[in-house]
Amino acid sequence: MSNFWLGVVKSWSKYGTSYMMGARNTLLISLVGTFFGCLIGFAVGVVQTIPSNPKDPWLKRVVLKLINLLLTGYVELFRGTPMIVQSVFIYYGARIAFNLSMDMWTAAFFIVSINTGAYMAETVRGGILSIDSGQTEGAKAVGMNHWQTMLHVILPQAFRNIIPQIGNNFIINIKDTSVLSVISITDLFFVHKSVVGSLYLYFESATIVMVIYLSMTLTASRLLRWLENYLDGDNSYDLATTDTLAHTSGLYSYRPRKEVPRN
Amino acid sequence: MKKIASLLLFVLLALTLSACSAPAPSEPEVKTLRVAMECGYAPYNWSQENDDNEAVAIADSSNFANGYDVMMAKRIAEANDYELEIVRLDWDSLIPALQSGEVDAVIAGQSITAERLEQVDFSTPYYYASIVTLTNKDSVYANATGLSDLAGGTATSQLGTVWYEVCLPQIENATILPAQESAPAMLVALNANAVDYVVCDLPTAMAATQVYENMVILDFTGTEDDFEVSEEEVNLGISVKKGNTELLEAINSVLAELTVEDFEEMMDAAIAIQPLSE
Repeated sequence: MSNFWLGVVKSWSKYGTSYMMGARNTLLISLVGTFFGCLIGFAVGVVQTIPSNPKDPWLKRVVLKLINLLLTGYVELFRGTPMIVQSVFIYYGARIAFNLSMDMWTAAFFIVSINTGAYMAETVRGGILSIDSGQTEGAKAVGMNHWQTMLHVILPQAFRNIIPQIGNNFIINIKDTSVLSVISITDLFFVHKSVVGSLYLYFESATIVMVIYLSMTLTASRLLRWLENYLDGDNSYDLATTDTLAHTSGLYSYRPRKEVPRN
Repeated sequence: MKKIASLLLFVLLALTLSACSAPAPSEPEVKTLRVAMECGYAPYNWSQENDDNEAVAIADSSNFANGYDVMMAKRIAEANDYELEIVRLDWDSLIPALQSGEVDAVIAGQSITAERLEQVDFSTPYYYASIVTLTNKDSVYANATGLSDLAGGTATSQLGTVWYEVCLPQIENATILPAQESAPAMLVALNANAVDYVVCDLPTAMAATQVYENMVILDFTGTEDDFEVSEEEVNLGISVKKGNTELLEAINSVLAELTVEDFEEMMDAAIAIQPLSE
């Protein structure tokens, strides 16, 4: 047993900086990838939920249909193939087929973003569909068009509902970026493989890497939970009214407030 | 907000496109030799955090590479006035990287197999790796003197190697478990008694016995009762992109000057300085 801990100490003392650099790269790619992936997902999800009305001009309907077909193709292609295969295709394939040499970091950001985007598109679509249609009707009733309804009524609520899924994607990205070692990205898992290949101390290095991964994912899920709570706001509200009758309506709960200076 | 979102998307697109540029057309004065390896396969190649023992910096990394493969790469670069660059790559992507021109050569302990020769060109051998069996000292197979003594055991080896694909099936009645993804992983299996023995080459086995003191090497080389492998399967070569004769000749001319004794001497030097020996 003490041999094991000696091995852990040896791995860390020899390669501590490498582990931290690997963790940094993992975190950086996951953050950038999740951020842009969410943007892509929102864009695709919003377009996919544009209502198509048989009364619309035929041109609009055809264009909408084509765009939807294209987007569905994108989602199915990237959701349905392993990221490691996509990496090889995008990074090496582009070089062989089009003589297009992409910087490996650009390739990494691109691959993770476009993947997260494909998953997020479905999540956003689900988030939008989950908002009661009465909300859309209400917005229409006060004269909002589709974009206004989306931006001011539906999306803010959908966003709140899909935060857990964004967190899921981020955590999945932290773990899945390990496949980017095929395009020479030195992420945390690749550092682990190097160290194991150099010192032959398998479990010792795995222990270190596990602790680092876990602290990254735990921090991420805590932060997202905090964001959820922040967006939810107070769980009880007071009516903003001066009508004293409101006190009897049950919508007003007396709570001691902080002293607010009167003017 | 929609505008911001579309603007951001546009920026992402523009960044992606601008990063894709055509390869530099002008011929650089000093040729750079980009050599790919795993940097995690001691004593052939490994990574370290400092440049001790004349290690070479790994491209896009704060780490340094060293080992038998790096020593060989340095020799080739020096003899031809190339500037050496080591690229750390996963085993699976070594050949695609060659084919796409991402790297110029792969020196990573690859054996010269017929399948690989269809994809890439190989130099003459740069190391002759004899194949041995590794088992635990307290195993019933610890005193085996030939291949027939291994009959009936449970075995595994590393994925995609001659050891697993050619050697293991030659053992009579052996239960062959699925291949392990790396040499260290297969050693973990042996150490945990999940298998009775594993098959690998001598340098790997020597590294293993330094870490796992309970392991013992069974070397049947020279006896009648040994694994039957063709020369080309156990010889390790340096691979280049198909048709890159200029580089291949440059590499072969360096290898032609080295004898088997030189190879062994370099391997001993690598084993002496590998991190796990400390």
